[in-house]
Amino acid sequence: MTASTVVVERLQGTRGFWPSLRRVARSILRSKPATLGFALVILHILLALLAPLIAPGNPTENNAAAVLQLPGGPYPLGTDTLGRDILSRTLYGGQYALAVSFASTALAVLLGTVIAGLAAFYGGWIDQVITRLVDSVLAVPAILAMLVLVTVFGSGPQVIVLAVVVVYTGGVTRVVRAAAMDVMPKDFIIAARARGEGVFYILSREVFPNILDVVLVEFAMRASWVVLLVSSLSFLGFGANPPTPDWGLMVAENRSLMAVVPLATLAPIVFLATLIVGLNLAADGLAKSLGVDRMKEILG
Amino acid sequence: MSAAMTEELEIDVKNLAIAYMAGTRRVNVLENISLQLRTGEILGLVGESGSGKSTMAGVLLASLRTSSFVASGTVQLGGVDVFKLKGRELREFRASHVALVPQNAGAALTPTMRIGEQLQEAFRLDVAASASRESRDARSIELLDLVRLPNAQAALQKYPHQFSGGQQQRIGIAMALAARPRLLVLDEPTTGLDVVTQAAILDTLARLHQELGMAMVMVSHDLGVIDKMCTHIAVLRQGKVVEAGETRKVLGNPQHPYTQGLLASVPRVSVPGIPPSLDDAAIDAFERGTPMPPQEHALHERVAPQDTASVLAIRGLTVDYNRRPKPGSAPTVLDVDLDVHAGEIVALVGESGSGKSTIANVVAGLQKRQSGELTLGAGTELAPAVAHRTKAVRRAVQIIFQNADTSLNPRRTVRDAITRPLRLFHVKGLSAEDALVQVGLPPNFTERLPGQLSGGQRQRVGIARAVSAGPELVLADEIVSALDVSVQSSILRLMDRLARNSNIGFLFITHDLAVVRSVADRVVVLYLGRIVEEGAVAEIFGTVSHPYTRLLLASVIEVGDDHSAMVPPGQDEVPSGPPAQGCPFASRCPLVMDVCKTTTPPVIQASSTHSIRCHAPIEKLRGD
Repeated sequence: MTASTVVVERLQGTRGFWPSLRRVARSILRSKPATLGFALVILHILLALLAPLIAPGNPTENNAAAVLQLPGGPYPLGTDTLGRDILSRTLYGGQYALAVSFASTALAVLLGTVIAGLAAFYGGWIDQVITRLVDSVLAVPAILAMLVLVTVFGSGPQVIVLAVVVVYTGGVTRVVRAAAMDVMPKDFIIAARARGEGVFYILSREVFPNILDVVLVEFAMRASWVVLLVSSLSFLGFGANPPTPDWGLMVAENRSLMAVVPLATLAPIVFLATLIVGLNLAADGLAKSLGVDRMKEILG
Repeated sequence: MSAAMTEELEIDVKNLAIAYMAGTRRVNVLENISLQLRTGEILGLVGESGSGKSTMAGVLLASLRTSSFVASGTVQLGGVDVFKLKGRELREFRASHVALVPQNAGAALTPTMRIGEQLQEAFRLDVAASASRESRDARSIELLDLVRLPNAQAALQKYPHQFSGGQQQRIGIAMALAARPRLLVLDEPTTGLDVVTQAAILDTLARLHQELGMAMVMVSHDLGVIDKMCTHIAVLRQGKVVEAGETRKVLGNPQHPYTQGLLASVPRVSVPGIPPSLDDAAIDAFERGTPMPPQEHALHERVAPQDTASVLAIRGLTVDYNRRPKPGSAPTVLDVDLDVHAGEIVALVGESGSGKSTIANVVAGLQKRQSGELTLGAGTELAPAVAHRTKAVRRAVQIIFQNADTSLNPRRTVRDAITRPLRLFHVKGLSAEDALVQVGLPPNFTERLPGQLSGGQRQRVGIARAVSAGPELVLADEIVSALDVSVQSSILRLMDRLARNSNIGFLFITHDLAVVRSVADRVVVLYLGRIVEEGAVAEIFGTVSHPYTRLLLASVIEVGDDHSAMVPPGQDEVPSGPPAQGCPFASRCPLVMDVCKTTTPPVIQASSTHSIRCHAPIEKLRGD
């Protein structure tokens, strides 16, 4: 046995899906910011999922007898102008923020990845058309495009998801297309083409496993932007409709009374901020442990 | 030792060990290296990939990879202990004392800077030469003339991409010489170049060394190049010098079994047959002091198959990358006829840009053709695009790639790679394990990822993927050029065995004439997309040949040649495209006549199997 064979034997333990997942997890745990990021995101997901169990009250129930209460008694964080429990509203607010943001980000990333794969596979004029379309979508400011869509289609979670998909698919397409273009000229793709494999097989089995890291990082990074965007829309009155418990909406409703019940504005802001910071740190950590250069992606 | 003695030594490396840390374990890249070199001598560092020769070249430039460190020993260059230098001193030492010629000058030159500016940057510290614009230009032109770059004055205003690979390498050498270094380190300076260009660059280097007399260190895997250029040699294996001394003595009478094995595994242009491969286990045994197992020394001579059925017939193939014909230009591949028979290895030989890979891509259905007919086996027409070919046809034509690193999907196991064609083409009764055994790999390799295999093993998996489908024709595109010589011959033997046992016809594309001599049955010589000569392997390497084939053969550099032959000026530059009329080789041909520039050369039938396309009478094509 030569030295190189010995090394190969040792490497055998690190193959497959689960061992590589463990390796990524270990490298994330080694970095403090990344661990904090993942902890924050997981905490937020748990709080949102368990809101019905841990919230002290009903988030949408008005109570005229207990308006603008300060923290204490049955209301740990006080109540707002309609006497609704702020803690309950904040906890339930995570459901809306996470569900809408993650669903829309997932859709945008999925759609973007498929379009990017097709552009990279076919190249030529198809690629040209897709790239130019993506460029023109990217040229429109995100919030403006979303406002137009919301004005046309009305508000509500489905419209928000649609709006996010329209705005963010272009960015995802551009990044993933670059990654896929990197893989396309490799000989194993040429081998697959020469075997006469179809576009679906080549994209899903040959290309996708090699760009999965880029797609994952793209998801984590976009999610943090989308959370902020969705909340901004609610704040402007185009997102969630009252009385839905939503952080952006809560800030908008209570900001004029900040001096009376400061926690009514502060609680959703703190939750929103920790979620966004958590997502950002998690995306950074993920990118580092997967070896994806985030700066390169942002700069295109 | 007296002070005068050490002064004279340009390189003095004592007990050097370079290491890096893998976790808590120390890994030695170089161990116990001691080397001396005087001014005016040339040292060749030889070894396979991973032997530490590039690290050694870095050490001589006082540079290490960031994670590596000097574990012990000293490196004195021109009497200065370079790893004691810090910051400014180190920079000044590097700027004035040592210079590097990188492997790929095309990538080492800044693409957005004119040649003149880049050269002037290199001699900025030279006060006299950088004084004025005139003196800077004069010095730049002087440097470019020194390396024989044609039309130096105009070259100053050009960008790197406007030069050919050989010219870029000349510019790289000029830049290295700009600061008048006392030590020039060349890292595989001719590896990516064609044989003729390589020979011309080496001639230039030899002349420069005579004129300027600095010390030179040349890193190469090519023993022939080292033999031609170097006065001294150090053979590296796994970070240790196994043998060192005067080149003539070491290569003429090697003492260490590794050097012996390395020399024996190099195929020769003058000798038919596949050389034995290097037995690493035997050398490990020798290093430990245990008795060496017996090694094979015999060449394996291939026997060409007789009268077998045709598997591929190409007639009148023309490929043009221009959509519409442009005036003054001609198709990339013109009127190529080619046959491959069952069990036969047909070599397609030519320099880069000769259209070898284009032809392979047309056969594979990956490249459109303008005209020409391709017939597979007994009369199946090959459709131009792979999408229009039936499964049976796609199964019958398989490809093996040059670069085993990129030919396998890094995220998928060996089993995935091999079983996909088996399932796609409904091959019954062959498992991935069987396919691996067929190419000489252990069956338990199926669950490995390509990253866990060595280069040679990866290439075997690539071969297994191609042959497991049961093809009639395999397109083998430069399949051994990226491999070390010791692995190369085992892959060539595998190809020979597959051709014999499975009756597969191979279209073997290569630029390496020695490999062609060792394994091919028939040879087709291609120049700028036109066939210039075609014949059985012995005929091509025989006495009658096309002037282009003769030039190629004369440019091959091998251990033990007298190395006095020089490439005549002007013969090393390939025109960018084929001429619109006449013989494609007319611009470089020593026998050129007026008719060559206007009329397509006729076919001279030197024997029933040997044809040459040339205007010159056959007597003139006879060499010595």
